[in-house]
Amino acid sequence: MNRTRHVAALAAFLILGLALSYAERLLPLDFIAPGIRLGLANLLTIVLLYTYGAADALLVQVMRVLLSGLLFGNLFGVVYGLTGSLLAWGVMWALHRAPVSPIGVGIAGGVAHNIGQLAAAMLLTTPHLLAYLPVLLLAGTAAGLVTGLTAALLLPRLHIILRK
Amino acid sequence: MKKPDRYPRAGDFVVLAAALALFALSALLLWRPATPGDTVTISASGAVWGVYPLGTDRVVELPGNTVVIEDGAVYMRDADCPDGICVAQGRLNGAGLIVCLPNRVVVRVDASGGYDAVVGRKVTP
Repeated sequence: MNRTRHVAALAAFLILGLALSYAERLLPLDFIAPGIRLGLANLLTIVLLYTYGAADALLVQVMRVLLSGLLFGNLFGVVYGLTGSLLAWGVMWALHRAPVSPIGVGIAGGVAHNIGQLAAAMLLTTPHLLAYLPVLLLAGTAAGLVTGLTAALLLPRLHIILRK
Repeated sequence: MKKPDRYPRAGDFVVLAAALALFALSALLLWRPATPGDTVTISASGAVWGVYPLGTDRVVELPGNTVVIEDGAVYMRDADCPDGICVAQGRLNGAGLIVCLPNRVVVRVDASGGYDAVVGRKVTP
């Protein structure tokens, strides 16, 4: 597959990621914990991990977070997004070689994402935010399960289109 | 390129179990029954802005946020952050937190026994 197609495909993932992270803001889950998000963008990381590989997955995530910060104007959002996405990417990359399907990878990613965000928020505001850890872990598990399942359903079909 | 699995594998249940175990452990360690609160501690950017008794009505003005203590509860009346989640968090009369992440403001209610000094800035009784 040629480079143009590769770049175009990554750009498509990037835009999808932006759209997903914007759309999930419309669903207020604040009754669970303030600022909690579904973390749907992890779906793209999982798909990219299994198709184009870890480097592209990381690239798209970082770019999405930076662009999102530029477009929707929130510096700390960028910091939290980066820590969450980086930790999630690392954990998912480590796991995807193990005897784990995208479902498990998704769960781990969802949990890691929330832990990363909470850690950054705790460092930047107060350690007392730790009180939110249990609910964030649970929400991360649930959201990760959803994204993992979606990725598991998508991958056999995308796998053919997205050859490297 | 690894061919992705379609169906759940053994590792998935391990991951799920680990995630749920983490949740249970953190809940056991961190979650305490709600108790009536005594003190409101407001911090901005990691430093304590002021500590106030929950029983006294007052308005605390910070650079980007307004915190109100009224009738034994505290809430965020105003904030200039893009989301406004902190304002939507409502009134807090027991141990807990109201947080404005963009402005790095944290309002914490503790059910502590007592405190030595009350420090305030720009306080309107």
